[in-house]
This record gives sequence, structure tokens and C-alpha cells, in this order.
Amino acid sequence: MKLAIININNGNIMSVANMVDSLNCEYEIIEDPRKLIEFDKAILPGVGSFDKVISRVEPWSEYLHRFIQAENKKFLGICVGLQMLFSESEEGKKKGLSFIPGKVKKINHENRSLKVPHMGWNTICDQKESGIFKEFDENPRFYFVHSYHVVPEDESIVTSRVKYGEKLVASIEYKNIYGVQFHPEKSHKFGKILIKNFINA
Amino acid sequence: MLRPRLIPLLLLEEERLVKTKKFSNSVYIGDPINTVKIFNEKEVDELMIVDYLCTSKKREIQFNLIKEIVGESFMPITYGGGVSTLLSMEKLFFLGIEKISMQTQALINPNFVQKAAEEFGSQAIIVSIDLKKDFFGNYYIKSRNFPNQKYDTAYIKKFVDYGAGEIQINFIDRDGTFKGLDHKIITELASEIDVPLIFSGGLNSLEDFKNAIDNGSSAVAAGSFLVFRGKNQGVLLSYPKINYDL
Repeated sequence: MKLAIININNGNIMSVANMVDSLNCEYEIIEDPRKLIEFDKAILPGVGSFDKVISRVEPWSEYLHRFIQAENKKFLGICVGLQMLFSESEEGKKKGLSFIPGKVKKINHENRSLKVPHMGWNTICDQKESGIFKEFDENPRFYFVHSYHVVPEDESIVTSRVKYGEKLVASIEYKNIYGVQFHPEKSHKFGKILIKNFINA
Repeated sequence: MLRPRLIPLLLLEEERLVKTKKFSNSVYIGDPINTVKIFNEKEVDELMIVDYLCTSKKREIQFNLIKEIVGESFMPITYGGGVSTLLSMEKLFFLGIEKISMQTQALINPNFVQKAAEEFGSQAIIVSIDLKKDFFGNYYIKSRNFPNQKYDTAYIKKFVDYGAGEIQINFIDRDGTFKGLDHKIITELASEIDVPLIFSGGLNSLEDFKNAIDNGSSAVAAGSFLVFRGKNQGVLLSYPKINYDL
């Protein structure tokens, strides 16, 4: 199994790499989109504002598309790495990658006691079976930090939610794409199990 | 539910970790890499490392040390100290730093907060303010590198408008004193500020922590409370198990 961590210069690469490394799994940090297809699995970490990240991922668009269309490949998008798979975001003007039908919306801010960003450790709910949610012996909690959340057109792709005012999408599974709104690379043993599941998926 | 965060606040002085009282009189508490490793094993919510003399002593950011510190920890880590360029921020984020706390730069040049937020997103930017009370009970903003400013909520709010994703307030007269947090300020700011607030300085009990959360704080950062033990103040790192169903 060959694992790629996609580096589009938007931070957080080493955290993901450190975690993969701690699982004794080999990986390569790739900066050349043309190499992507050589790998079986790819992780796209994401930090930053939507438009900034989209402009950096644009050169990857066609290669990412080819990757997720290919059989036996698995893809994991983290945070903005998940959000950019959708077609548009209230955070920016640019178009997303549009791999998954749906939108990215601002966390409901009407409730003043609700601070935005949603930042910190939260448990997930409405969990469905998914390749990345195996082997948790307690209800996992994850580190979240986001002001926007994904709203897929097809609700059935949602594999877990997180309660923050309303229930927001915490993870999805769509074809061979896994996506998580939280940061497994910052979520201690819970994140480690999830990344391990992805590696073994 | 979203858990309120209790954040160990570690002060870096060159390559050592120290703990201060009222932000001076530093006492050596340990080696940073080992200390962070211990807190990582305790599965702390988050960690904050501040190279607190970096700007005033005109030192360089210790990227190599930070790289080592971050290497084995799987939790969000905030770094503060000497950050004044987007390039140094990019380097820190690449190493795995989750959030950057800025103080001097934010005071001198609030536009930098905006630039940083546009580049890296608000969620990665903390503006940290040292608050002090004068003889007459008036609060003011103190800095080693910038003239004192009168404190009011509007002054703090301005940083949120510039794009700070979190505001940290340090009660520096209470630092290391175990006197408890300043709940008057917590309550006042929490009703005015929409982004998460972190308070530090003086935490003395879980009750104090819980009160801060009830008063609207999202997180409390603590040094002495998690580092020292007992009246003799021997170094013993600890991290309480908190019952979040309270």
C-alpha cells in the first residue's frame, strides 16, 4: 500500500505525517500532482480559508478527479480538505472541486452564546458504520476547529454528526472518499485509531 | 457536547521551560520536549507554548526546538513569541503548530492580524492580551514592547474585527499566585465577544475553572496549577480528570 500526503502548502502537513509515522506506516509527502495516481491512498489535510485553499488546490483538480474515479483508491479529506470537495462555500467566491454535490455553510450564528469558530473537543453522534469508525471501544471525541460546515445534498453519505447548536456533519463517506470535519491528527488516540482505519480500509 | 478546554501554558526561556510569578521571577520546571511528551500522554485538551521573552530580547524563533516538541504530540498546540512575519507563521504551521498567538505584533500593527487571518484563517490566530490592574483598580493593557493602553471591551473587540479567531486574556497580577481568575472581566468580555475566549492567570481550583466556563469562557490556560504541587511548590505535572456532566 502506498500512501500519499498531499502538500498544497497550507499547513498541518507534519502533524498528519507524524501521526502516520507513529503508526509505522510509510508515506510520501507529494507536491507534484502528476505523482498522485501512483498511490493507493491519499490524505488531503486542510487548514485555511476556502478561497486560499481552493486556489492552491486548483492545479491538482484534474489529478484528484482521476484519483477518486480510479478503482481501489481511497481518499481522506480533513477539514477544509473535506469542504473543498463540495461545489461552493459561503466562505469564499471561488468554486469548489464539485466532487460531492452540496454546499459549505457558515455555522448558525443566531445563538449569541454559541461561539464561532466551533473550537475544541467534541463527541460525535448519529454514527453510522463506516470504514474509518472501526475499533473504537469508547465513544470517540475529536478536536474540531471550523466556522463552516458541509451540507451534502444526499444525506445518506453522512456517517456522523456533531452537536453544536444544531447538528453539523462531522464525517462523510461517498464512493471512495472519506471526509472528516474534525482533525484526527490532533485527536490523540481517537485520531490515531481513525487514521489507522483509513490506512487499513 | 463541546468540552471546555483546560490548556497547560508552558513558558519557554531559551531552551528551558520556566514558570513565572506575575510574569517575572522565573523558576526552572523542566525540559520542554519531555514535558510536552508527558502532557501528551495525559491526553490534555490542548497545549500552549510561549517563548515569552523572544520579542523583548530580540531572539529568533526556535524552529528546531518547536519541530521536536510538536513531533510526538497529537493534540492542538499553540505557539506564541516573536512572530512578526507571515513567512515565520507559515513555517510554524508546516511544523504542525495549530494556532499562533500574537501580542506585540497585534498591538503595534493590528493590520497584521488581518493579513494573518486572511492568509491562514481566523481559527489559527489568537490575540493575547496582558491585563493589569493599577493602584486604583483600573485595568490597563501591559506589554514589554509597547506603551500601556487603557483597557476596554471595544479595544479587545477591535482584534476580532481584524480577524482574531480567539482572544486570550492573561491576568498578569495573578500569574503564579493561585488567587483565582478575575471573574468580573470574564463575565464582562464573554457577553461582548463572539469568538472563543481563553483566560489565564491565577487558576487555583477546578471550581475556579468551572466558574470561568459558566461565566462564558471557552477555555482556561494554566501554568502553576498544572505544574506545581502543594505549598512547597515542587514540580509535579498533573492534569485533572474533569467530570463534564456537571
